[in-house]
Amino acid sequence: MSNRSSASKESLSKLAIVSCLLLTQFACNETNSVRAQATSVNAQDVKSNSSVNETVSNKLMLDLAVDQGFLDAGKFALIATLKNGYANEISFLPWANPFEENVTADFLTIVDLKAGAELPYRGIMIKRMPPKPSDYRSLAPQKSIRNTIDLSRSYKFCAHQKLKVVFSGALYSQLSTPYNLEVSSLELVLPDAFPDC
Amino acid sequence: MKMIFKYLTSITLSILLTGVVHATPELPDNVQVFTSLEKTSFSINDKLMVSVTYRNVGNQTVSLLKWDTALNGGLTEDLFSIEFNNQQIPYTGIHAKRLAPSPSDFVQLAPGESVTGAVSLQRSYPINFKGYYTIAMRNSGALASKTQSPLAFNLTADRPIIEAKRPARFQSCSASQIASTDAALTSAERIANTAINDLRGTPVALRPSALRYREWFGSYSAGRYSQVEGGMARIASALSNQTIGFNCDCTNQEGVNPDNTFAFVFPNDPYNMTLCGVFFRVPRDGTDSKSGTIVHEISHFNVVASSDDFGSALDQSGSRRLANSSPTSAIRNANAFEYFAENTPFLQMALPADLAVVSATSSKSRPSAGQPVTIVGVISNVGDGLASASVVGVTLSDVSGNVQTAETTVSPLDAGENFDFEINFRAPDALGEYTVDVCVSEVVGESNTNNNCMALTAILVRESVTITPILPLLLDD
Repeated sequence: MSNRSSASKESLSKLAIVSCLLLTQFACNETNSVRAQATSVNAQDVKSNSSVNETVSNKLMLDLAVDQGFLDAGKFALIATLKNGYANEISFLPWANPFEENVTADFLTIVDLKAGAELPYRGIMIKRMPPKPSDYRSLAPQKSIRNTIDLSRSYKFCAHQKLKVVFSGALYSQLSTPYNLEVSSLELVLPDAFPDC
Repeated sequence: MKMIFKYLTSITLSILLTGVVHATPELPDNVQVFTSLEKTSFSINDKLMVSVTYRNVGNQTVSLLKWDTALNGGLTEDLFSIEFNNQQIPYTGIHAKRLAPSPSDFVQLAPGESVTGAVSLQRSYPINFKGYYTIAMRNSGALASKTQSPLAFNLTADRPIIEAKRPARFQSCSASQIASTDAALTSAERIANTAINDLRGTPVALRPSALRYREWFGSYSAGRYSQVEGGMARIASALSNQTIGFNCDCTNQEGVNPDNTFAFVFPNDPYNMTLCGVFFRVPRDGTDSKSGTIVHEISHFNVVASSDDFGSALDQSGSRRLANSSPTSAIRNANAFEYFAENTPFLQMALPADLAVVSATSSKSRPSAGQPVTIVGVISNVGDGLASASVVGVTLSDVSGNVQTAETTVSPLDAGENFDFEINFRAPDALGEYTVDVCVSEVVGESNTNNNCMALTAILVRESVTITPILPLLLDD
C-alpha cells in the first residue's frame, strides 16, 4: 500500500513536470508561430536538416513523429515537420493542419490497427472568416518548420492501442495550383500511461 | 386500445401479422412481437398507425409491462427502425421517466395468448416526404434471431412543413443576442426545410443538370446526391425537432480567435454550439449569415451530416472550386450545406426545358380514305435546360368521335435545339372532316406546356375513287 502510494505520488510528480514541459513547449511554439506569421520563418522556427545546395525535389515533405517523453506521461504530442523542397519560398495557411497552436479541425486519420477502426475526432470544428494574407506562413527553400501539437483532447486514446496516424488534411496556399505534398505516416503503441478503456 | 386474442391460428397470423417476429430487450422471455400496417400506401391525411402484437409463446403465463411498448396508447420510446432513402428516420418522440409501475401497468398473457396495441408513427418520427419507407421493430431480445423482414409503406405526397422549432437554450447570452439568435434559428429552420424540399422535389431525370446542386456539391452522381439529401434531411430535422443549445461566450476555447470566428462546435456534442464575434456582426439571412452559420454548425454533428471544414473552402469562391475539383470532398463540406441552404445568389435546382411545336404541315388537305398522309414539322426546345426524349403525335378527330393517332419519337434536345419530325399515316376510312392536332409530350420539369400542341387546318377525307380499267373493256369489244 505504502509502495503503491509512493509510486503514485512519483507518477503524479512526473506527470506534473511533463505537463509543465508540455505547456512550455506549446507556449514556445505559439511564440514561434506568431513570429513566423509576420515574416519568413526565422532561424528559431527552422530545424534545417539540409544545405541550400540540396537537390530541388519540387515538393513539400511532411513528417509526423511523436514526442516519446510526453507519450510516457500519457500525452499525445504530435511533432510535425514540413520541409520545403521547392526552389522558391512557399507560403501556406496553418489552419486545419498540425501547424496551428491547437487542433481546430479533423485533419488526421488515426486508425486503431488492432480494432481495425478509425478513432472518431472529438475536437472542435470552427467556421472562420476567410484568411487574410497575414494568416499565411512562409517557408524558405530547403528549410523546415516544426510544430508540436497536443492531440490528447481531440481523440480518446487508450493504453496499448496500436495506432497509425496519417495526415488527411491539406496545406492551402494562395496559389491556384496545390503543392505536391509527400506525407509520412506514423505508427506507435500507446504505453501504460494512457487510460485503460 | 387493445384487444386480447385467446387464440391465434397460423392462418390468422399470416393474414393479420404480416411478417416481423422478434422481441424487444425489455420483454419477458417467450414473448414474440409481430408488427403490421393497415395498408401499404398512405396519403398525408391518413393516420400512419402501426399495430404491434405481443404473443406468449411459452408454457407459462407472463406478466408484460406495458411501458415502452405499443400497448400504452402512444410511443414513449424509440421502438422502430424506420428508413427512408437508406437513411434512418430519427426518433423525435418523448422519453418518459416514471415512478415504479403499479399492477395496472402490466398485462397478463396466458400461454398462446396475444395482445395488440396500435400507435401513431407520425407523432414520433418525422415521416414527411413522399416515397417508400421501411419499418422494423428494433430488436435485440432473446427471440430476435427469428426471421424478420421489414415492412414497407409508401407516403404518396410530401407533408407541408410546419415550422415549429423547439425553444433554444441560451448560455452567457445578452438579451439582444438571444433575440437575434432566436430569429436566426427560425430562419435556419426555414432555409433548411426549403433546401431539403428542393433536393427531394427535383425529379431524378433533372438532377444531373441541377445548377444549385452542382454549384456547391459538384458533378452529379446518384450516390452523392443521396448522401447530400440525407445530410440535409437530418439538418432540417434537427432544427425542427431538437433543442439547440447556444453559448455566447467564445473567449475560453483554445485555438479560437473570437474576432475571426463565426461559431464552433464539438461534433460529438449535439446540438450545442458556441457563437463568436463574427456571428453577431453578420445579417440574419444571406451569404455567410447567422441562419446559414447555424445550418453549417448543425451539419458538423456526427449524428447529423458529420461534415468538415476545408481550409480551401472558407468562402463561396473556395467552395465552388472544391465542388469543381473534388465532388467527394464537396459533399462533406459544411460550407456547401450552408451555401446551398442560403441560396444567395439565387440558383434554381434545375433549368427547365420547354418543348414547343413550332411548325407542322400536312402533305394533303383532302386525302381519300386510306390514302397515305405525311405531316412534317419542327419541335424546338425553347427552354433553358435539357429536355429528355419525348414523343410527337398527330391526332385526327371527327364530330362522330372517330379518332386516329400516329406518333414518332423525339430525341433529347439541348436548350435551343430543334428536331425535324415526319409522321406518316393513312387517312381514316370514315369519311368527313377531321381536326388535326400535333402535340409533343410533356417532359419532366417542363416550364410551359401551353405550347406543346399545334392545331392544323382540318382535313377532309373523301371517298376513295376506284379507277376502272377502260382499255381491257375496249379490247373485249
